[in-house]
Amino acid sequence: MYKHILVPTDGTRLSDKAIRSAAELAAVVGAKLTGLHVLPPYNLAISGYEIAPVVVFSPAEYRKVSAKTAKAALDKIEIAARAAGVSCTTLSVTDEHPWEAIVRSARDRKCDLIVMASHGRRGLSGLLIGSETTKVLTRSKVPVLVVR
Amino acid sequence: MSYKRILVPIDGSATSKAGLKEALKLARIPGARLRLLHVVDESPLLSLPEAGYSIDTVIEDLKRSGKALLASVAKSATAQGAKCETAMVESMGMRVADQITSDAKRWRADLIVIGTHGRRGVQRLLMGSDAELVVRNTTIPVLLVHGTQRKTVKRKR
Repeated sequence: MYKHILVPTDGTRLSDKAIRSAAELAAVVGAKLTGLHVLPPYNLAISGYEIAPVVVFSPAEYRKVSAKTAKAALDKIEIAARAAGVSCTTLSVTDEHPWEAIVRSARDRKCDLIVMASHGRRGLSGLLIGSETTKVLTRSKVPVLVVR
Repeated sequence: MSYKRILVPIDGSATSKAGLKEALKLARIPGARLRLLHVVDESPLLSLPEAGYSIDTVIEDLKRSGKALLASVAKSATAQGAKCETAMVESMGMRVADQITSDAKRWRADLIVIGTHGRRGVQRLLMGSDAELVVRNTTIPVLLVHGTQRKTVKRKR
């Protein structure tokens, strides 16, 4: 049975359901939980907008703001884990491609299941399953539970 | 909430075996039961209209082998302590994935466990197409399990 469940989050409400499912499943099977939040590197975060952002952060400001974003997203996982009585660690990484960070973290941390939302921040732009999720599904050797 | 009604599509391939193996783990959760579903896929036959023999005979053969497959899988699942039932549907001109998702809905599955191919072919086809379609077409959680990678997958008839 599963011993270590990885739950990636991007802080959106779509992730909340995956977090809840992961915490509940972890409680049932007696697994521990690792929460993961992936941030884009500074240059991509700034240039990644289709429309120029109104406020441009300096690298230092970006670090501060993004650390706050990551903490808010990961706090939700810790709260869910505590409520379910499951032991939990969280992990914040910077990577250009969230899916790569997810697959790598699952491997490095020896997770035996990934629970993630079908969609992330980039939303439902005409796709029935998000692009990052699709990439994780195709690249991960660890089973992936997709939650909607 | 935990997963109690687990649907496992079975087609005899290596990837579906990988899915079953994972489902058997989850079947150990108290109260969990598996529904082993085999979809008789007639679609390849429909493209051979002038084959010179009755399609019905072939379909009967497919059903018989499907039944035998389900029986042997159910036997080994039961031997491993899983509560399970079996079901067989015909594709009836629908895609296999659509039959899986509609059966899941009818049976009120709370989880679908399905094997996928590893990396092969073009990017677009990285996942087994049925597996991908199932994830796209349902709001039920889907557990995707990678089968053996870089191996030709034989589809048993």
